[in-house]
Amino acid sequence: MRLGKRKREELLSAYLDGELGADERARLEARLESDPSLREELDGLRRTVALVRDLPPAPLPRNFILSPGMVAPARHRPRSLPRRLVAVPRMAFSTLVVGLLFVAVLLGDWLTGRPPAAVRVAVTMPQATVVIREMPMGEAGEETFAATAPTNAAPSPPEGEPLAAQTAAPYAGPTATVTPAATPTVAPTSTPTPPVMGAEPGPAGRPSRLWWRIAEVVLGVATLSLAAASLRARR
Amino acid sequence: MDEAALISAARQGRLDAFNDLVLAYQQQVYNLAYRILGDPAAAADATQETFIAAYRNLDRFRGGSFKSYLLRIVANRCYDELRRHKRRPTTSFEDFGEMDAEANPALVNGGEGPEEYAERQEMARVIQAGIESLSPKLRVVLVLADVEGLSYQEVAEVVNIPPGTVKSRLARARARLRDYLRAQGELLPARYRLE
Repeated sequence: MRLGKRKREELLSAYLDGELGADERARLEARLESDPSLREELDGLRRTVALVRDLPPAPLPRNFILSPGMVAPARHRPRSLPRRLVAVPRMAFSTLVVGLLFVAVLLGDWLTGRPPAAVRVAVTMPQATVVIREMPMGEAGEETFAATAPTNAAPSPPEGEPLAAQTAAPYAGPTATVTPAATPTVAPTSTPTPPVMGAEPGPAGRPSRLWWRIAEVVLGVATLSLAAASLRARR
Repeated sequence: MDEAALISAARQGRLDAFNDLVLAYQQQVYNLAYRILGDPAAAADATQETFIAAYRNLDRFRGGSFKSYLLRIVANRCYDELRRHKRRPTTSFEDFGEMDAEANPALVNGGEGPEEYAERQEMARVIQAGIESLSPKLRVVLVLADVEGLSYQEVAEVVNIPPGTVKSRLARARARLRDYLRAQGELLPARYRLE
């Protein structure tokens, strides 16, 4: 009967150690007599074991005698929680704090960035403003211009005062039309002005919007990073 | 003082008595750790931790072989270390720096010339690499049986597995190591080749 590889290995290994029973040992020795490959296998195994047993002992790097400090009872030492158990709640708390800060900044940005009601009206009608400015100056044109005037960077006329009163000199009378030179001086300053930026009180408005944006981006990225890190730590 | 008296004195808190046991067994404990882990620093850590744990848990020692008690602790520590970090160190020549003959005269056999010494060192390096190529389960059993010379029953007690499992694991470990050494072929010194 032919032995399986694993069974053969077990028999030969146990034979080398003298761990086989008398019957098994006799059967194996009979096979070894008639099977040269089995003898060769046994010889390789025997030499391998001899090489391992002949390994020199690893030289000691030092003595391992104990000092009283090494064996002080663990209960007398300040015991700290495993780092992971401490880190996970701390990271979750940090995520919550930064997340709330992020929401607060978003809310603050939204509240401070809301344009006044008059400006919102102007923002909804930019095309109408241009069309009317090309018409011959009349009552309608004066009213519309007055409404859009606060969005201009140019000095604003007092509310309710007709524009004609400020630009009376170039006009011959109520029937006169806007001169070609007058159109480019007003239209470019009124039409392309961004509505939100125009709502800012003065020239300091642009930097303050920028700081809001920076704060939002930084806090948003920090919130996401912390959330990802605490999820990873929890696993 | 015999071993039983030292253990009894150590149980009563006499550290000097326990240190006598440390001196008696530190070579075997360190050797086992080094052969399993393949790294001198990790083996030294495991050895020191083993003696500390053995002293602290001396009340749990129910008699029998104190050597088996120590080997059980160090084998478990090494096994955990291998499983935890999947430590598979490649044995470097730097690791064998401390095995220099001048630093360790005991390594030189009487009457051994420089060439034989170099061959033996090279052979030891290859065998260690072969041991480290085995899985942790096979490695621990092989080192306990063939390096430390424990019987099947003693290995079974140390590793806490049935003797039949020791038998099969040891057979597989030896066969794989033999195949590894055969695969080295020409790299081995002629008198050590298995072919």
